[in-house]
Amino acid sequence: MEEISRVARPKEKARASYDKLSRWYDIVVGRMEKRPRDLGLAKLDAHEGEKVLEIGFGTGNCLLPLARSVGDSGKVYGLDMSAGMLGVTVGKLEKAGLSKRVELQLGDAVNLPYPDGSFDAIFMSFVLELFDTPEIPLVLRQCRRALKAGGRICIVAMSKGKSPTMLAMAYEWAHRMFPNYIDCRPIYVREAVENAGFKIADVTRVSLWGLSAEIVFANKLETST
Amino acid sequence: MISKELLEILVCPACKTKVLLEEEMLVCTSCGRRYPIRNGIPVMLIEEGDKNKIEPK
Repeated sequence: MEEISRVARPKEKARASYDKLSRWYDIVVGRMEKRPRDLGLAKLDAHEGEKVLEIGFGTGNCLLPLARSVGDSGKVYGLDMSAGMLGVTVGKLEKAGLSKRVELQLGDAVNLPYPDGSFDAIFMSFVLELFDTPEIPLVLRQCRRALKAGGRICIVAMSKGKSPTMLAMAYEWAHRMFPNYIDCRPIYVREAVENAGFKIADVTRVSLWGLSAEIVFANKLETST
Repeated sequence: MISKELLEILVCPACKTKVLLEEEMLVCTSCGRRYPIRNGIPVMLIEEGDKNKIEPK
């Protein structure tokens, strides 16, 4: 398997650039990501009364539908690294009248601040590919730990196809040349989730203007810890 | 300042021990790291906890 490229940018810098980006993010990136994101939310299928965690909620576009799904008896927890993004999200939740169903924290998914077995479901959309290569299995292991037995995880991410397109190759080149501007890169999503000990239930591939995204839906086995 | 429900679920990201609310900081009862709450949002980053670390009791 071809190697996935590394992330050169330190986290402090990543956080600062997301703070700056937050106001423009929805207009530029949000639209492109909408379809795979919505497909991912449908796979996760959050129910009334459930406890759901979204890692890297960004400008909060998925927190809103998640909060509607869990209802008044459920709760959505959102974790992100960027305080700038968080400001935009707080505004959106207030406007939608959903603040009470959502709790937000700043934090790093490599070290999740929740006890074992806390959540029914975890969602990540275009987030896992932002972590440096050695951190990806750490993030997934933390997710498994924080999920209840039988819990669900859905990850939407840019994936490395079997035969990369010209655009995918150009994108990866840009990521290597300008790591501060092009911060994510395609990864092997399914393999990473499987290696972290999840049971894969469904994999859907969609094309994002020539780049490939994968929606991986998996379960934590009832017997695993 | 932060809801009881949230306080119940948060643990120290470094050692996964329960945190307690003390003087507007979330304090880890095991390692003594203290996490600030800014604008009502807990900042559960280990480097933030390290900045305000106290010797555990």
